[in-house]
Amino acid sequence: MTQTTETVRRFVGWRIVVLATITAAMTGPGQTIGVSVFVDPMIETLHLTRSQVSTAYLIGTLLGALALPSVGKWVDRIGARLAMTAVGTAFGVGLVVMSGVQGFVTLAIGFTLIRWLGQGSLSLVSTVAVTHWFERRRGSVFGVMMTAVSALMSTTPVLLNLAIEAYSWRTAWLLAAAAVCLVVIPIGWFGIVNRPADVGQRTDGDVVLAAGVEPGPDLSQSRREAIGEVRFWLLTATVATTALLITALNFHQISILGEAGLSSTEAATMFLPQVGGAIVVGLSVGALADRIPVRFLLAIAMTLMTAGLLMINIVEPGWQVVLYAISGWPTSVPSRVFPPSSEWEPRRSGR
Amino acid sequence: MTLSLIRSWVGGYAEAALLLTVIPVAIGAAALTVSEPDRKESIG
Repeated sequence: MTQTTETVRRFVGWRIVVLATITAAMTGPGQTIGVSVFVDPMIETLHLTRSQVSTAYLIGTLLGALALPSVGKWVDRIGARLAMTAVGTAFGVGLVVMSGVQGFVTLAIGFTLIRWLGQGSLSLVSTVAVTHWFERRRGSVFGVMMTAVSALMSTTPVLLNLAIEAYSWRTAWLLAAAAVCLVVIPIGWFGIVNRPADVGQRTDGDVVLAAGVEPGPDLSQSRREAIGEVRFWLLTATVATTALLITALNFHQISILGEAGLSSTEAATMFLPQVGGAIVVGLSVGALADRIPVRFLLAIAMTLMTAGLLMINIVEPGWQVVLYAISGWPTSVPSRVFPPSSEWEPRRSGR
Repeated sequence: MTLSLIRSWVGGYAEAALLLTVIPVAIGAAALTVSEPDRKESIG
């Protein structure tokens, strides 16, 4: 018993969770809330239109997403430790590239790099680093981890905007690059352990298999079965819609709230209540999903997203701005609904 | 880009956002029409 307690106390998985939470939060400069504070100053300096900058962002996001599946296979092959070290280095280089963009083409290249390496790859490798350490507790571990990541990441636009105002947007990208390299590379190289077996441990910190615990029934379906169901496409549409609309609102947040009379710093600060709302929802939706039908949760999320869009008509300094910012909370609904909605979509992926 | 593009067509963020409300309204309505499996059967 003493030996078991000692072993559990030293379970390396918890350290991996803390470190991966930090590295996931460091994706901030590659996330839309981080990029959004650069949009207006870059439009001014590069003499591009808002549509051109948005198009470059679209190109970067799409190309980055297309490259992501190959990154996943690569991470599986070389392990999370080496992958995180390499991705941290490459993401830093991508942020340096962003500091030197001169026009539409270089901007699209820079966006591709930071979306692929930061928002995509670093998020992926941070998740994979934790996934290998937990099986039974994976849901609750990721629930806490993602909440902490959201809280940490909400400071990104505020810090970047302060750097832009104190120096310039080019220097702000360089400072972001330095921060990413100084934090992510050491964590990857010195902190991450690929798998429990590498240090003689088991997933979840188990010493022996729990007696009397039988695995649940296999609820998984083939890909063909999954894509043939309306529920799968409804969940997919909800995720896609929140990604589309919240990304659009976040990307243009400084401009939208600027039109409402807020300074760029005040507009960037509005990401804090937005993320705060998302955290509250993240912690509560899981519990709600056990009590009310998932279809109602999705409908409520879409209703509130509609309300957020309509609020752009009336937003002005004061309580309306805070309410508008909080309306970003549907962002976290699909990710929180997916795990409990295993009743809806039992383990659809992976086959 | 979607918001930016629609904004350039219709003149402002408010009008563009108004048009985009069609998407969540449609999905929310569709969600309400979908039947859910029996949880007792499917929860492992």
